[in-house]
Amino acid sequence: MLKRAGKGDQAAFLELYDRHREPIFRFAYRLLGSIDIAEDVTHDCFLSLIRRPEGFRPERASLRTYLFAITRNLAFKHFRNTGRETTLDEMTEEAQVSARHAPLRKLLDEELAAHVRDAVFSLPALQREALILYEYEGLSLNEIAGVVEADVGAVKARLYRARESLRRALRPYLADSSELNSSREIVTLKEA
Amino acid sequence: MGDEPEDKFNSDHELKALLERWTTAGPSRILDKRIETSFLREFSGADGRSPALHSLRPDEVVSMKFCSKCQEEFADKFSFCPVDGTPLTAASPKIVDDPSVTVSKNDQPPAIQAAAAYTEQPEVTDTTWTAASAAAGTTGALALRDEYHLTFLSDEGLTSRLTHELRDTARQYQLTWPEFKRDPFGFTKRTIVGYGGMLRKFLAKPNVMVAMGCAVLGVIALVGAVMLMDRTQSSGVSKAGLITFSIIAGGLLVALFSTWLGRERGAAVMGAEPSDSRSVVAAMISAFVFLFVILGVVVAIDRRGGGLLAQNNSAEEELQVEQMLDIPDEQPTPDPGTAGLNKGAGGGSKPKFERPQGGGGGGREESKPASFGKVPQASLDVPQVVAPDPKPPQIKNPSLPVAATVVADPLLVPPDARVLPYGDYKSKSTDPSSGPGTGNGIGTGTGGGIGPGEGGGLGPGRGGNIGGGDFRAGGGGPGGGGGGDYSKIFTGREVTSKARLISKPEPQYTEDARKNQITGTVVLKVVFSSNGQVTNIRTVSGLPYGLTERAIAAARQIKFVPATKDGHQVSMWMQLEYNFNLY
Repeated sequence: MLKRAGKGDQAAFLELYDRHREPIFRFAYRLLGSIDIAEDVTHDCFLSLIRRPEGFRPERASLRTYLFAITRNLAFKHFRNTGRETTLDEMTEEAQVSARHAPLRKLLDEELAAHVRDAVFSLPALQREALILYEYEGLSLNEIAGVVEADVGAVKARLYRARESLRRALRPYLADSSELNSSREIVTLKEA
Repeated sequence: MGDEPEDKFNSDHELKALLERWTTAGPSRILDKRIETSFLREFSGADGRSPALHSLRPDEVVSMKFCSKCQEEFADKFSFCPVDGTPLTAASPKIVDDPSVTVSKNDQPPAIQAAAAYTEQPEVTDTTWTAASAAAGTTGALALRDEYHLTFLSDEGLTSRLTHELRDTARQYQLTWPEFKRDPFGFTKRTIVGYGGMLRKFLAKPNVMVAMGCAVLGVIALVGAVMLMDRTQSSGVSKAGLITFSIIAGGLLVALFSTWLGRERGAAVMGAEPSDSRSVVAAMISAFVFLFVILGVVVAIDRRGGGLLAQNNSAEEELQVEQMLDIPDEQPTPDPGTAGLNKGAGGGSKPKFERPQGGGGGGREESKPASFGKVPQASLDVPQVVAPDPKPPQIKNPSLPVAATVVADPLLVPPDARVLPYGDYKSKSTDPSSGPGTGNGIGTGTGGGIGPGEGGGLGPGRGGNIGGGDFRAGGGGPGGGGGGDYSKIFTGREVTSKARLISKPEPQYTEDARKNQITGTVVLKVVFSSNGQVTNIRTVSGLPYGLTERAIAAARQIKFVPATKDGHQVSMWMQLEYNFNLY
């Protein structure tokens, strides 16, 4: 299918794109923290796939892994170009805009989501990508090792450290997460 | 490989559940269309250049906002939907680097086209686009830049929008409160870093620093003009002239500022670069706010100080005159000095300091030492007729009674009201005796005085007076209390009796002030001089439309009895307050 797409078969390309667009975009967004940049990276990722289909070698990894690797490289290229990561105000902007006109339950969810997002963004880049690929995209340790071009042990170590940092950062939510859920239920009942 | 460790990793369900709270939206259909277009262009052969990575350039990426009501996207500049006024959300970006998207904008309503015109002109990347640009108009990119763009705002009332914003702000703080409680230091640090970054970005925007500088200069010029007007209010300088000057100065600043913008951007203050203009206006507003806050603090401190001063004054006010206060300015107080009978170290009646000298003595050749008693009335002018005698005179044939005196300065030897026989004030003997001296005085000396000296004075010395040595009338200086400089201007605390008002005419309103409903208080600082004139009039706080001048005229007509100090009429600082009220 990739070969057909590489030769200009639009239907094949669209099918490929449709299959992978969401994970790639989500990964890029979680890595970069900006919808705009994530869409650019997704765009460039698929463009580079059809421009150089020979770069993908099926014997080494799956297409999914290959696409994640391209996305990762593009994201790091972006980091290098801009010289900085997303700043605090840019990251919180979306939450603020949506919080303005949302009901209370959505607000509570968004508050929690914002804390989780901030905690993930506070991780070092290598730990962050390992965590996103593992927890959010469900890649195996081997696949992650292929994407980030490191061995499995290193990936595990990064994951372990990432989780420790997250546990520290999200301790209040971990300790009484059941309480949060119950209060959220009460709110829901009231709203109903 | 990795089944066992992966199981171990998967066992962290709690954290995983928490992480899943952070969900993300999928890519927008704009992205789908964009990628599809890129794919087609890639294989159409029309574009020889590589578009990959190209779109990362910020000048080609236009972030868009999404209206949840009409399901349309608008340029990032919009906060509200131009069609139905719904607040827009940051939904998905829209790229304009391909002609098809740009051309499709022609199908949209004019308002949306205006919105799209906010976007930066994309870099010309292919021949198709070049052709499209050329066909659109000969002016090309420049025409787009100089276009006038409409701005759509919500038609909601200002008050309700403000309330809305305040409620949102309060809600945001409510939401961040748990985070602050959890980690106050970290939260504060993050907040400072975040806001610092925002401030840096704000200052780094084009024109911001220049605008702030202009605003600061403008405010300083205005404040300077106001202060100048205030200072010259009573000195006859034309107020109209100063106002004209201020207006011209302000106008020049604005003109300078507009010219600068015009030169740079080819536009007026609110010109074709909306983001620049917005930054400029924001910078000016922030500079104004900053300066006015500083000015407010200074004025508040000044007023508070003035209030305390007035409170102190009123506490010490003794004159029961309405709207009058003593000036509490610190004045150097004279040293207390030593008075009277201190062996000539004190002063005397003469206006300048001079050490008194002289003395006297006497006795009636009695065997007993002189007895203790008071000193008779002292005088340097009246010659001694009757010398003091400790034994009351037994007058057999009554004639005109003459009081005993000594020759001494009455200021150094004040009258003694005690019921005592005359005697030596230094003696310890109580048995009435004039002492072994000669000359009818008291003591061991010679003459009509008291003590061991010679003459009609007191103590050792000769020729009268007190202080030892040959006679000399003493005077002045810090010790005597009789000297002192009565020509200076005293404060209410320093005088013996304060100035007393005889008449105090009230000032009249001016016609202009009445028309303009001016009310308030004029505070004047004046001197009630020792010759009965009101002089040295200074305005502490004035009122416009000639009221200050009327108050000054009224102050000049005040009739009063000057203040006194040690029996001398002296000048005294006063503060006059004239209340102007309209009923």
